[in-house]
Amino acid sequence: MSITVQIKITEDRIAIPDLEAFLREAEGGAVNLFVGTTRRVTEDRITVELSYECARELALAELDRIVSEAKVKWPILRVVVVHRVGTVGAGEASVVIGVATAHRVESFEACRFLIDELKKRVPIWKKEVYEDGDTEWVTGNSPS
Amino acid sequence: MTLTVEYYAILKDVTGLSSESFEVPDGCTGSTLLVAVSERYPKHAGLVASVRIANSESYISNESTLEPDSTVLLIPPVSGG
Repeated sequence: MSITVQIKITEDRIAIPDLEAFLREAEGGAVNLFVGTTRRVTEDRITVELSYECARELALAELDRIVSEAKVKWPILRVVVVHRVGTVGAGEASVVIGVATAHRVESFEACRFLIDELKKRVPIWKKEVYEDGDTEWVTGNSPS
Repeated sequence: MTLTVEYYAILKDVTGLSSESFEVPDGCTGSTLLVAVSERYPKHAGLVASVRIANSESYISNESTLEPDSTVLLIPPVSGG
């Protein structure tokens, strides 16, 4: 059986074209790709980079659970979830979620579910590094 | 019994540690452990109250009894994405 799920936490830049190609190989009718990027300007402060940290083993286990939940809710052909950790420059992709399905509606819904649950539950944290050298952990969500 | 407690993100910064040991009574629950952590770091009691506890596989309830010699992860509010 071919691999249909890719879940990864990586220090490297995310190779979006490779992920998109992997999703397209499912030969469904829809590929939905969400790319979360690091924001340079928040209110009036300039962020030069973000520093991401994770509890890796738990984060991967929680991502597995979220993907399994999505596969129960929607007829997913292929799915990718890749999150970067370490230093990520402003404007770069920090997270990519992709879903391949037969039709567009379920790919949109599943993609939205995956990113929303990731942000609520997966033990990953980001710290803003500002232009003036200040750093600050981003206020988070309590996993329920 | 002894537990190893792991700190992450802001909690790692304020304690200056990624993990440390706690000596707790047998049958200790997650809530009891969090009280012990707050007592060691009274200035950060509010932060400790905001964490979820977990093992390396899943979040666990504050009411659950912790296993002797286990490792407990303190997970502050998450901010991935």
